[in-house]
Amino acid sequence: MTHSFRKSLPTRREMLTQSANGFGMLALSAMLADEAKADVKLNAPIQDPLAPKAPQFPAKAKRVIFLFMHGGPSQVDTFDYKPLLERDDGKPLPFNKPRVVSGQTGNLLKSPWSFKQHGQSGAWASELFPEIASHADDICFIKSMYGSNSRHGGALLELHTGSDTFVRPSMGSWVTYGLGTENRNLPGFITVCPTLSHGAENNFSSAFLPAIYQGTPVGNAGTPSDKAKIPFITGDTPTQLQRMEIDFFNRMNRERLQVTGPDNGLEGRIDSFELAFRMQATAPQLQDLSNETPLTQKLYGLDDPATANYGRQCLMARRFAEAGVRFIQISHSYKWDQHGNLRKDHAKNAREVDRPIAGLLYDLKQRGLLEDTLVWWGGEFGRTPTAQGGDGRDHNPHGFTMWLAGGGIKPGISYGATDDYGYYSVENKVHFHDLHATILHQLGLDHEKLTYKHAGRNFRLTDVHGRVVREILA
Amino acid sequence: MNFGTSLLLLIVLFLFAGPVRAVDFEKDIAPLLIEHCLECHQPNKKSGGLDLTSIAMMKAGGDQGTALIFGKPKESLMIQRIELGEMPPKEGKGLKAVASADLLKLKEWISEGAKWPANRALGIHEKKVDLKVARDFWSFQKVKRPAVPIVMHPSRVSNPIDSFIINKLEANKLSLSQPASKGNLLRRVSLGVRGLPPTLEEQDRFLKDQNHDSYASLVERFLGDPAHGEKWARHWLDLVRYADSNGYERDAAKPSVWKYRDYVIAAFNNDKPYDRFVLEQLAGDELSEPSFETMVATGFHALGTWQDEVDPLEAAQYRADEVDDLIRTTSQTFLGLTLGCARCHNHKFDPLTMVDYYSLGAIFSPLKRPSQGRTDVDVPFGNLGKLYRLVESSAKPNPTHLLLSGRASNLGPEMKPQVPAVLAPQQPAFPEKGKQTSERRLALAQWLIQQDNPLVARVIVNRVWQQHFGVGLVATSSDFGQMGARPTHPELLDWLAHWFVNDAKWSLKELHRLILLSETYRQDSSYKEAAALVDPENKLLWRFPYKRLDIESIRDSMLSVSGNLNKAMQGPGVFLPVPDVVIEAHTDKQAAWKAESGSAINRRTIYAFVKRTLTLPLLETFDFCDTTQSSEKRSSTNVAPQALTLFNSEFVNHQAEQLAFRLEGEFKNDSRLQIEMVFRLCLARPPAESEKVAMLLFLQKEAKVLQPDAAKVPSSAEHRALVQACRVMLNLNEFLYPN
Repeated sequence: MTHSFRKSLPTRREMLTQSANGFGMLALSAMLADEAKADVKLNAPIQDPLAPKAPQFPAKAKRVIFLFMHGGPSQVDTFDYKPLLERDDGKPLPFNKPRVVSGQTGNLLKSPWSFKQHGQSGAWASELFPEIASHADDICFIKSMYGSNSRHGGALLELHTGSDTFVRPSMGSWVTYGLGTENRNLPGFITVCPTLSHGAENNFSSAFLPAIYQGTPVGNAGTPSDKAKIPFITGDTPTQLQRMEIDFFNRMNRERLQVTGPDNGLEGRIDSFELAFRMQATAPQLQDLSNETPLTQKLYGLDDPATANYGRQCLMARRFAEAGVRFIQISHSYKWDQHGNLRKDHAKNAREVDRPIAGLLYDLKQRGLLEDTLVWWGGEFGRTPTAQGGDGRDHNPHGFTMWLAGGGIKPGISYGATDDYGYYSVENKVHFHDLHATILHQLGLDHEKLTYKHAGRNFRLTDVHGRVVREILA
Repeated sequence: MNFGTSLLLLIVLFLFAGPVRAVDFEKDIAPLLIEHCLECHQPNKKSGGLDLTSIAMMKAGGDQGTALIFGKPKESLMIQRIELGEMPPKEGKGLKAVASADLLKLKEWISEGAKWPANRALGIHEKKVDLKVARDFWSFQKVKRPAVPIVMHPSRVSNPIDSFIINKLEANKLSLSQPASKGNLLRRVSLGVRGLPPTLEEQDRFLKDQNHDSYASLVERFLGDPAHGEKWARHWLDLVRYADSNGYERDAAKPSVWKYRDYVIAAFNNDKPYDRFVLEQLAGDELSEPSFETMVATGFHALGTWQDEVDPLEAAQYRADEVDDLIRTTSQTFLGLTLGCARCHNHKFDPLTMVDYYSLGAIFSPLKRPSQGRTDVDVPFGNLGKLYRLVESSAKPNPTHLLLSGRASNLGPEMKPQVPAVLAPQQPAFPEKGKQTSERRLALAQWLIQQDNPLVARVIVNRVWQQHFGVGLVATSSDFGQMGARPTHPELLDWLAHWFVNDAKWSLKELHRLILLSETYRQDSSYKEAAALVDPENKLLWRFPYKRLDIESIRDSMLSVSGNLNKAMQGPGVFLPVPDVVIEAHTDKQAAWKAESGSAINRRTIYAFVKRTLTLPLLETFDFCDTTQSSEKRSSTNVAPQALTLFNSEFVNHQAEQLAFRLEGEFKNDSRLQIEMVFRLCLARPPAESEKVAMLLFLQKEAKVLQPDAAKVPSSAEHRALVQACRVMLNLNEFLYPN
């Protein structure tokens, strides 16, 4: 999809002149200008805050698709193979556990699933993810992830915003703030079926960044993905009548502008109604998957009731990515929290996402989109190698696996390691802050320079932390 | 050589032979290391692997080896790096180079064997600020009343506000715009004072009133309307992070928190003097005669988020976060200072230190939440009823400590209660112990409302100004520090602050009156090209600024014009209807949100239950504040989702339909009269002829396209066209941006 943009925006004065001359060329004016912040920047020309911006340095990735596995998938049952865990099943952990979180864990519990190596790279994966494993050579597994919070709420906030205590802008908001959006008919940050618990909207809020950077939710975790919509995207009014209504609305507003004189807020508001009108057409079109070929639908698992729900999310993600949305999150809702029923539920969860995700990777690659789309998979933490009951594992933020693919990340490698039992991250540790810094880096943004002044100081996604993990960059 | 000359010689020798006393670690070395090195070389940061907070770590050195060699300054790496000008780094940190005299001392100290007192660890919190210099900053200086300037064209001066504003305009060869029309002024002042549009009766009365003081009496009527408190209380609730639930995972309801909201509304309606208002909220329980009302006021402290389930090992840190919330909210709300920035290190820009932060913390840390397990509870007050607040259980609380790097596990020295040093050449007296409570908050509150506090009055008059004009005289209304904006009209700000305390006796209604009766407020809002060229941002106020109504005023206005507004006051928060999808995924849907029905849902927006994890979509899209922290100003965006909300939400459509019924009830089938009325209701003015024609045409065209809908009552196409026209009226720019 191609878009044309005006590279340089008119100064306020130019804009005022234009509008005084009959309201021409205002579509890109400061329609979304945030007056609250504009006050501080005295005479800076008012610019459209969503206009696409050049990255701070050449970028490898243009957009991010985050496949969020809410609840905390177990590393030792998926991608972090631990022979000693298998050998010492039922024995006590030979070193100290960290503090207990939701309950006591007992002795070591081996993975009920068998592991084998895949592809040229020989990456390990369990039989839970046969399809994703077949793309091992496109993937960079980070096996040494760690976070600071062992509760869902705190861990989700840390994962999404970099802070587990305060309300801070979500990563997608920072990215949109840094790069703007490529499609003027859509928001720059979309989150499909986001969770309504564990911090809920704080996970996709723009906090103190202007509200235009906040994630636009499409449905929520309780909505089946075929019912997921942008709030109020459809009404009872047929399009033809709505067009008449907006024309009437424009006429009244513009007539009034002749009396009051030009004004950014007033003119921007007229434009926002036009954008909303276009969004009403564009967003449902993008969400309408019926014009995808049966082959593609099958690729994403739409033909199987078990995979159809997440498959639709993955396919929507590809379509949003193609359309130029900057940051797309698709959540596999709060399902991965197996304090018990590990065998049954982890298997069920994996089954629901394996084929859709593999389909997405395949599809992005064949369309040439994987090159500049960074796909990111993972949960808010991992799970303990020690058992809860006979068939469960507790939360474990001390060591777990996430993976990246595309977007200039080295394919077919594993980076970092946990200890012999998969409890603690020990080698080449990667904190959330480091991962955030790395993802921003791939988008051409320096995490130390992407700042926003609020309450008297400059804030950034990584606070005072973060290291770009250069070892995994292609 | 006699005794005299030899003494003289001795003195000369003394003067030229350099220091005779040995280098003193505490006097000479510690401050130097703290000032120049510790920012980076401390346990938390360890730049280059180096930590300079103890002699052992200094000796151990960093990535490049040991930092010093006893007795050999020239061979010590730290000296070498300083002499090469590499340390402290010139860029980024704002650190000053080491003065040559200091460098000499440092070398001398190393020569003498680098003596370091046993167990002495340096800390970044010991960094001092030069208070004498700091107090020169404009906002820390005492408020003095400046002379009211003389203007060239005094005909438009109705009170000193105008003199200050016109004076500055004249200096820029500008002037006030002509007075606004009576209709525009009526709608402006009605929305500004009450958050509601003028009714048809109010319009008739004012427009027909030919008395010279008709406007002054209008202002009196509106200030006396209980709706005034409902409008202005909301601004205060934003500042004090008000919500009806605790946030976090369970987000349970705060029991009687709404009594605090009603207290604020009543305080504004009764014109409670601001100094008293401050006193009651901070220390209503510590007054000599606390009443139910003053106890409710202290609910102020309890409004923050509350995590009802904390990992026991995280408890101390979480407790520190709770106190942090109190420090931040109090310092931002009353003082306009971002003291919260001094939690882990001294404030980067303002003369606020970690000691200031934790000393204020010592005032609040005795407050505890009287919860029962995970359940948040009310506290009884005698037999007068229950209320929601934090409590202090001891007259002599446990000691409070500074937390190194802000970490609860990292206890620093004990802190006594104190107010920020830069603001108080003399600290107020904090009692050693109180009667039932520590009475530290009482001392704090009394210090805040003393006449010579430089910030409290400036900050509140600026907040009131901001609400009336969209932007404060200081644009950053909760940051009066270095990084905040400077006042556009410093003399006016000081005049107002001084007048507010000394003449108006802290009466907010007096302040409103003064502003509302000024010509500056009463001028027209139209664009003037010549003025816009000189002052495009309208900082000098050559016109009344356009600003979008906040969501409360938008929703309340819609209810008002549709004739549905339920004016009932007070009581627990109302659960407004929300779209199903919003609550769908809450595990406990029923418990999460029990939407009410009937006329309760037509109450003013301030009475809507504010649940922290479930913001009403209508409020959220229209820039409702972040309820987890003090918010000084709403954003004012025009994002497309707002348009979607206004066009497609059930609420707006319902009000449009109700408005159409109202018009039809009044003027059955006469479109012209209906149009007259809808303009007066929505915009407090009659339609222009061209507007009337446009709407008539729209109604006819729509009615042609629309088919009668048998499913609806009434089914006629004309009715449905009128509903759509009403929806456009409720969406017009002029409806949301009053003139």
